[in-house]
Amino acid sequence: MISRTQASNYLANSLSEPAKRKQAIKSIAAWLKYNGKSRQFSYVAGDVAQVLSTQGYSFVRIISARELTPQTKKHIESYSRDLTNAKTIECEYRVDPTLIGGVIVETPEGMIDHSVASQLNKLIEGVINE
Amino acid sequence: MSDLNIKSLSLEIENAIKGLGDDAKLKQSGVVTRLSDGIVWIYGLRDCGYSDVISIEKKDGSTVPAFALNLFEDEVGAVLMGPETGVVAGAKASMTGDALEVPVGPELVGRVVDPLGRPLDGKGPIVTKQNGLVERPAPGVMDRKSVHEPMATGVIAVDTMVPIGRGQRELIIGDRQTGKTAIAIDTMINQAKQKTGVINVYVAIGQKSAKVAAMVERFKSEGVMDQTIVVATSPSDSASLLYLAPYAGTAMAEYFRDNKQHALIIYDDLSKHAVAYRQMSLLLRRPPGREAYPGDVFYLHSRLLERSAKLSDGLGGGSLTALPIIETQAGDVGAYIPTNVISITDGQIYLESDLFYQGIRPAISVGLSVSRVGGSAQTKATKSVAGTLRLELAQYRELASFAQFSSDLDEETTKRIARGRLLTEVLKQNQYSPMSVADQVITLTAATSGSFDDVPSAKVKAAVSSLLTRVKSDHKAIYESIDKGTKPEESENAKILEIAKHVAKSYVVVKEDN
Ligand SMILES: Nc1ncnc2c1ncn2[C@@H]1O[C@H](COP(=O)(O)OP(=O)(O)O)[C@@H](O)[C@H]1O
Ligand SMILES: [Mg+2]
Repeated sequence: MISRTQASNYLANSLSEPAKRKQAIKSIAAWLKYNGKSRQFSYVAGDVAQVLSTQGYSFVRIISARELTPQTKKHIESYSRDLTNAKTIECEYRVDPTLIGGVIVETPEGMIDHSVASQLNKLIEGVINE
Repeated sequence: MSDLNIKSLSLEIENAIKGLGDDAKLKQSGVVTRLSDGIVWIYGLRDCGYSDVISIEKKDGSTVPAFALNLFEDEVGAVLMGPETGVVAGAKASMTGDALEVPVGPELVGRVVDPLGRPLDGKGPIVTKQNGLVERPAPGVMDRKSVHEPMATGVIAVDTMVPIGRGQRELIIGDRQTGKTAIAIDTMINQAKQKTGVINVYVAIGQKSAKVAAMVERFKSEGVMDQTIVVATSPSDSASLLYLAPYAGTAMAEYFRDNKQHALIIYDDLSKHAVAYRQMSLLLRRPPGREAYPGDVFYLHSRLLERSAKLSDGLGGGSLTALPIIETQAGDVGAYIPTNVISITDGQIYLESDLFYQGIRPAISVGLSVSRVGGSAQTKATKSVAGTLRLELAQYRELASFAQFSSDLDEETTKRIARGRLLTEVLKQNQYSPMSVADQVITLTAATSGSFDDVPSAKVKAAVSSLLTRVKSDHKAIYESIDKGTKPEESENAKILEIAKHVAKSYVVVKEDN
């Protein structure tokens, strides 16, 4: 029985060639389905991102309360590059108003939460624990 | 450069870390994939270690801590330390960077707390200067010294026949209602009565709150609460809290061990602890083994009890003595958990229901109880009277069972049985009445010399009590010298025996001639 981590390794290493990639995705999908793990597809994607990050390719997700200006995006991208030490980074932007303000940067190695919402929560918890 | 100061070095490192700030630190985060019965499964925490603390975000934005117990390739299984309400699949989980810690320090003394150090006694918050790791490696070979100071229990049968030393692990084992808890509690009370300064930590594992409350009241009235910490969990607490209780209590006790003091910890009881662990393990889907316990159940208790030790002089010479309690079913010491703990400890006090119901209390089985290291911790005074006690009693119990079947016994046997009967009487002891070293030595000096041979069984206790009162008032110096552990001299023994004979006379029933 292969683990999800092993399956993801296989997929990550098949991505470079289009033909191989198609085949690998097909077999992973089948493997997930027949093992009753269909809902784990997003974890496979996460595992793949993790494997790729060790090869110098980082997938970064940036979540902000509002749409960011191109200027800010550029800043955050260079910040993320420093953070991950990756040669290539791929950024995905998302807007989530519940953050109230600030940004969250998610990388395969971990995340940094600079959102106003989480700062507020920390403050509230601090007061409760007093 | 001459004095390399480790304390200031660790402070420097700590400050340097603070100086780095939080900004550039990536925080590993994951997602809760499923949860049930207080167990959460988390995806994405690849660097998570055993017993690391994970913070889980609830729907309302507040967080609840969990600690990791199962590290699989694809996910981490963690045990929630707070209520499950508000935690949903999809919730964010992040590593706090901490291993599980509890508050430790003198501020806890006199308090009743839960395994996370939160007060349960309504006496306000507890602010300590320090935290201690719940899971901590035990002191190594070179950090230890052999056990050599007595941990007086005040129970005459224990101190004379199964002596316990500071730093020892002595198991108290027996069926339910055989007086296991009573011996542990008497030992705690004795620390106050003899003013030993030993700090007691009593860990109640899944015990009814009312019972613990009554016990705490008793500690107060006996004046021992001022040197006691009670870590309490009740049957309604989660298995994770029960599981943590002994480790947390040990962390609290270790503070004293590591600060040149002496501490005593009672785990009441480890059978319930093993059951809580089994419950957690089954929920974590670990493969069950013998008696449905997981394979690592031995390690559960060995790593706990290894933390009790007598430290070397270089480390301050402090000690932590453990009295773990195991409840057996129908006297079966061969069951899985009892055999494990027997093999880990330095001996056991085995209590028998038969003896208990015959009125021989404490119901210590002389043949099956042993102390493998405590002998060298016995005072010279106690040693001088304890010598052949065990053997004599063991022989008596054997002879007594024969004697039931035969009527004509030789004189020697009759004598032995009579002496055995007397010793059995002398070793009976009520709860909450610990005996000092001098009390024990004087009692046995009289009993083994034959002074009380003619006193009827029912009167033996009364005779002993008046003997002790007399020696204390007439020969204070002798009493005090023995109490310090000095072996009594011949002349002193003679004085004790003189009083014993005198006392015995008033209890001997005059035989009628017809
Ligand atoms: N030495 C003793 N003399 C008289 N009664 C005792 C003695 N030791 C224990 N008992 C009583 O026996 C009962 C059971 O004792 P306990 O210590 O709670 O047993 P266990 O912990 O083994 O279940 C209690 O009611 C206790 O008061
Ligand atoms: Mg009990």
